[in-house]
Amino acid sequence: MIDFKQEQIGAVLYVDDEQNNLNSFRSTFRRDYRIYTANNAVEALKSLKSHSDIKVIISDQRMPDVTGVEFFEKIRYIYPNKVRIILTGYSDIKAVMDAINKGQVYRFIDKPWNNNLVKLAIQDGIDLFNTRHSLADKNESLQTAYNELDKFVYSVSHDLRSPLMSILGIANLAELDLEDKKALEYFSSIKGMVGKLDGYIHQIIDHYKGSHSMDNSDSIDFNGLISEIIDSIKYHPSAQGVDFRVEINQLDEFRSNRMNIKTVLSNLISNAFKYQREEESGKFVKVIGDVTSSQAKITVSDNGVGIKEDKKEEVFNMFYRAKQDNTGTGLGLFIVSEAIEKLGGTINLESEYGKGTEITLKLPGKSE
Amino acid sequence: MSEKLSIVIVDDNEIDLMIGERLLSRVDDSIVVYTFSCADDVLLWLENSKIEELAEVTLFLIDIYMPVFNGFYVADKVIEKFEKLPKQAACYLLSATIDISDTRKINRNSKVQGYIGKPITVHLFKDLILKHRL
Repeated sequence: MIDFKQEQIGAVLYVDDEQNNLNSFRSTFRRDYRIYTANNAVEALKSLKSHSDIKVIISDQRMPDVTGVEFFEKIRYIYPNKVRIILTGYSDIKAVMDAINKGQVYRFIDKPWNNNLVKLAIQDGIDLFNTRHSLADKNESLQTAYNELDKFVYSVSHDLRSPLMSILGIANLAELDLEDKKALEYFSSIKGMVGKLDGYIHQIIDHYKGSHSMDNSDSIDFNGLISEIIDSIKYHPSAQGVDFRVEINQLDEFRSNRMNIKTVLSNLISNAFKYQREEESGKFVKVIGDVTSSQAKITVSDNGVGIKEDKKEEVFNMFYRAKQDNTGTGLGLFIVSEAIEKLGGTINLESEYGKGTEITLKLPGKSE
Repeated sequence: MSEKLSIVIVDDNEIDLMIGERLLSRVDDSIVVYTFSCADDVLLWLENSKIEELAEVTLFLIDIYMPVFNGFYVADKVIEKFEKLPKQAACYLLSATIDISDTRKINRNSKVQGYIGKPITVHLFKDLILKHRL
């Protein structure tokens, strides 16, 4: 009980070269705080080293070896959280004001001191120390939680996906090796389900990354980004037999959040591949864009299944699925619209059922 | 051209090794496939193989996440070894991780040819064979 109370109260170090001042300070405040005293800077450093409970340091400005402000300047980086208060006569006020403005000193008390004002200053100092301390604690535990979440997400990305990709590999192999019609049908269903689960993992990761990427501003090369996306889906069955064209006209540097833009484009491009008309020949997916430093206008179009007029609003909702065949998770466009909102951009959807879809993005570029 | 060619696959996941081996036999059954399920074994093999034997290796596919030695380490060792040989082999790293560009950031210095996302497929092998003219 006493410990807790003392922890809340804390200790004060008072540095002054005049022994009389030290004595009177101690006798005035010893009932309210634990008081340590030192009559020069060297002693004060020793005291700080051995008493970690010190929260507030009060120093006289005029001392023979160093001034109070100089002393604070020295310890500022070693003990950044301890609150520094200076005691001074009127003649030194300019130097002290300067120190306060530079953030070296929290407050000053003029000499001769008024007990109530000193007490108030110490109490404020201790409160400040406690606040700083608990904020630092909270930041640290928040950081730890973030790091753990990061680790979790990466292990989801790898450990969960690794066996899934083995299953997909075996199913691919089975399709090459087997001739039995029923077996082929079963393996094709397995592949479909693996694809669905994999899509889900992708979207969870995308969503996580999108919501955790702060205001990162990266230089974005749209051609490079799109070829990265294509690399990851070109072996997917839906991409077979589809002509893919990219025409990006980018002369200036464009800055924005790369993660969010990648999320948007990879969802839109993989949708364009996924929702093709099966019996159609001449299937294509086209990405065209004009990029300046202030705006990126990107259009993703296809001649796939298209979207019915009355469904156009719904496609951006969570868990809405356009097809009945279990390929989607119903999260894709929901994540896209969230990411677009974060980027401060707009999305426009034009679609004719049975003919194709054209989605146009306008994204603002950030200035450096 | 009756040159003997071989591909080395290193992966701690035995099933992925089997998949790689069998897919390759579908693409071209004249290619010799060496598989290693642990980094130690492949490093030992590199150490003890004759130069003529290594000269036949055109391609290394190495999984990134393996116990003890990871794929980056193994790839560096492979590249180091081949730098002393007259003919280089191409090294690719394999992973099931979604964002391979993240992985790339971990090791920018590596001299590997590229990164391949799992699962490996017939199309991928065909592309690789075309690119490196096996």
